[in-house]
Amino acid sequence: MSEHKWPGLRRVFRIAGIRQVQSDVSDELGFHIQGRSDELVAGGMARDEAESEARRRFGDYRRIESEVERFDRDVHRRRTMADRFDALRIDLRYTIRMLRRQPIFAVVVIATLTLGISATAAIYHAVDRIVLHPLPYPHPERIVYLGWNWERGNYANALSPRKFEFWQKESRAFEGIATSKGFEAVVGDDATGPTARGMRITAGYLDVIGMRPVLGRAFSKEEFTSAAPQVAILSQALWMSQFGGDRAAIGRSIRLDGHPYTVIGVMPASFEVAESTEWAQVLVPLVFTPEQLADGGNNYTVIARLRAEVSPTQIDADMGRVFADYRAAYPETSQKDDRGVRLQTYQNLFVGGLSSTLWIMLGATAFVLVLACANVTNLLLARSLSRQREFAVRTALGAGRGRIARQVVLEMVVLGVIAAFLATAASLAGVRAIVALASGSLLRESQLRLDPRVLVFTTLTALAASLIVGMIVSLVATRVDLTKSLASGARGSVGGKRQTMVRSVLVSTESAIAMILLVGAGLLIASFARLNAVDPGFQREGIFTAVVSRAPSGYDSAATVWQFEQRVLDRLRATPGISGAAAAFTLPLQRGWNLPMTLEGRPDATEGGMEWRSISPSYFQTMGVRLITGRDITESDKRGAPLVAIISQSFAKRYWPNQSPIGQRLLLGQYKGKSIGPGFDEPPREIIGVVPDLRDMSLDQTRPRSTVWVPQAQVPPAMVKIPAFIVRATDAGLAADALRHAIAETDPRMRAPDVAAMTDIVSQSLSWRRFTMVLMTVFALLALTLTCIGIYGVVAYAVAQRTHEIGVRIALGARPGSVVALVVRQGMRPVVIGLLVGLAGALALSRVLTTMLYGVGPRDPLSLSAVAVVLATVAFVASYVPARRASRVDPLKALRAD
Amino acid sequence: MTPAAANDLEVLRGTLDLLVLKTLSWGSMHGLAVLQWIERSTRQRLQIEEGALYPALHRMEDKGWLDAEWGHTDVGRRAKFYRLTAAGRRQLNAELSKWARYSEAVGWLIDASGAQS
Repeated sequence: MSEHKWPGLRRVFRIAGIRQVQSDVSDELGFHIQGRSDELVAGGMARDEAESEARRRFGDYRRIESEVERFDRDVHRRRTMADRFDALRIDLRYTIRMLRRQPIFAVVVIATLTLGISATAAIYHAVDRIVLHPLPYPHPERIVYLGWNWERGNYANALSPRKFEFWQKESRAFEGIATSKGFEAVVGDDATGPTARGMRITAGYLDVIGMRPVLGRAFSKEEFTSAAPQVAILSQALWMSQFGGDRAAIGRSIRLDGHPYTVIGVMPASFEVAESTEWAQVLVPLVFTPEQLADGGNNYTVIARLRAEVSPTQIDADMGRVFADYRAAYPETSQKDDRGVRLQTYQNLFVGGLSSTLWIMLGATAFVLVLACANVTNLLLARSLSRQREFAVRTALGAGRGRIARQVVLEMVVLGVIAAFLATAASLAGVRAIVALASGSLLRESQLRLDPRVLVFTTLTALAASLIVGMIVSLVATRVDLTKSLASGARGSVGGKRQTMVRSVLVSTESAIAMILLVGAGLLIASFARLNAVDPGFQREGIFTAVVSRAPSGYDSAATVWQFEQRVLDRLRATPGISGAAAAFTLPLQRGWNLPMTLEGRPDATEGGMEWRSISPSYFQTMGVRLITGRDITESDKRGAPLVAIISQSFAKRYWPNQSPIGQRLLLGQYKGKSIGPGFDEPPREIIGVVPDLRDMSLDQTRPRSTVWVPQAQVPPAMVKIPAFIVRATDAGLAADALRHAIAETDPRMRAPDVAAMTDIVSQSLSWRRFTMVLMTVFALLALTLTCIGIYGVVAYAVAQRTHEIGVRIALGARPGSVVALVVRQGMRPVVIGLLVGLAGALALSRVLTTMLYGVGPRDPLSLSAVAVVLATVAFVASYVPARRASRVDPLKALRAD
Repeated sequence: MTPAAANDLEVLRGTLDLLVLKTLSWGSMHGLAVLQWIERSTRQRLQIEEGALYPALHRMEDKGWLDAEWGHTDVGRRAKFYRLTAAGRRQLNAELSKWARYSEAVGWLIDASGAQS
């Protein structure tokens, strides 16, 4: 039972506002005083006396009045709100009833919106987690990375141990500064057992990233000395797998590569290392040896936390001062061209070009969302036409235009809210699909979860989309001409010029957007096709590679490695079906070493960083690369023999434009004639051959990179490691088996290698381009589909509206062909306008794609015209189908229908 | 209206609600009628500051115990009429039982002999 027994009456006497409240109160109190004094007069008192007596008895009028008003205002406010809420509830109930009566309409609208919103939300999720909030640490805005700046803007995101220690000691800009080095170690006693990837960290690392162990303790100062007992902090995962999550694990021992470590702590489950996803399973102290401190190579990633109150100018001044001190302290090794330490954000270093790509993709999804909204608007407008009569009846019954408009908007919001729910779920699946498609470590697992920010984004997007659509529809569709709609019956009303115009504009917009997205996709597809067709200079078919991820113990000396390499190669060459075998320090399309070089006797002919690769004999032969001049590396170029090198063609041309480089000599590891560090001193190397420029950095490298190849056997011992093996064979299975067996038979303790076809390595190197291309193509196809549906909807509706007119035309002798032409012409007009607008838009916008293109300009005429043809064809089909139907109208039926 | 000595009892704090609710339980009334009813049925013994009635009425309306509407008196004058809602009726019962327990307790105290303590 309702507490309010007279809701109807209350509403009739509904007080119009605060002013009404006041006059009501004074009326009521006045009535009382009046009544009282009447009573007194009746009792025989004089009128004035009676009135003052009544007032006296009443008490303090002003105070009472204001007290009463306060209550009334409260009542008034509450009732107005209750009224509004009631009205909303009624409208909502009505809306849901309407939608349930038209389930197909509701489903189509929800599906269309969900599509647009979830695509946008999925990309936003990626943008948010990769570009906007990538670091898993508290106060990430104060985290910076320190790297070394060379002349001509060369930058290495790393410091040498000596520089690190110097900055750690001297700089005052940081709250903390630390470095780390990844390692992989066998866990437990079995040497071929599972390995864990961990990091050696310097003191203060955990403070810099702002994380602490949840169990046990962090490293103490004493544990960062070389004599200290070995201690380790485990990740949650390793703690679980090794100790089953037992809290008593603290103080127990764990074996890493056979050495016992005492477990002193366990990190929280949320612990991650942003820049090296997998390297956080175990932490041990990093202590630099004197040799490491003497090494000039910048090989340590340095992370620091800025002081909260420090300004950019203060930071610059601090870095400059410390750099000057450093040069003063080490005059003999600091090269003149050093530009000192530079601070970089995580986004700059690890996100880089990715961020612009992601923003572009977000823009693309925004377009898809607009398209989805346009289609929904179209659908709603069409439906509102068939609801004209309903609106008219409601208007006639006293519903204002506002009330009907509110109904329309509310309907859209209900659909939008449902779509937002579905889109949230779909976007999570979408993010996973995107990550799978990118086939790289695009997002960490923890970043794939639903995030409040993403949720807010999705909800707001859905609400904004449905409000805008609802508003447009209610503006256009609620203009009801009562007499016309009611008089003409349910059908026959043409919907008005206004509606027709709005719908044409929508179709034009859709075509324009589809055009832009298709151009984007077309350009990326063309780029990808061109890249795939690029000749890298080496063969990719029939080449198979094997990489040993980690050597067992005993491979510390160069001699053992060379011996192992020779035996594996011998085995491979003896295997039937293998037509070539070689070894290399790094595989094509993977990064090699970067070393400076000076020509012997020409200290000015120098390079800051050359690509340095070491190979076994017959490497070029196996890879299908033919020497331009000179000889290949042979078995006789071994250790102790004169040092030799093969160089790339563009390198040869740069320094010896008019003569043969054969016989010339280089000083590797020297910059402007000065050694960069003790490990790199070597006698001059003689150039023995020249090979064509290879695209072995990346397929899309525009400039050939100066490269030098040296024999595996002549690598400075400090740089020797187990090489990758390469074979040539016609059968993939045979090649893989041969590689695995040769390695396992040579040393059974060796882990099973990762075997890959060169075609896969090439394809893998294009994964990011494939990713952007596929994504853009998906969006463009979505856009095309939505546009097609939109055009079809508009034309089909126009045909339905004009059945009568078409019937008359046919009855008067119009041929079916001319009817089709008429309908198609009218259907295509907004499309053509849209195409032209879209073309202009594409010309303006495609420039943002420039860095993602290869071999085509952003205004590639072929791509543009191909896209226009595709779109026009689809539009034609979409309007032809309903046009055909129109031409088959039975004139008798059409005329009789009225 | 009769001698000043008659209305010598001040309304106890918190009992005005009870008086108003009980009065309105007989039917819808305007403020003055409520007051007159109270005067008549308490035989003029209670001294009420008349104006204080109105904040009480409006407060109880705010709380949802009373419902109000404008209507006309028998002689055709416009007045605001109050009546009890279901919640008001529940409130009345609560107040009544509270009052009964209170006056019973006070009665015990008055009747009690000194020996008991």
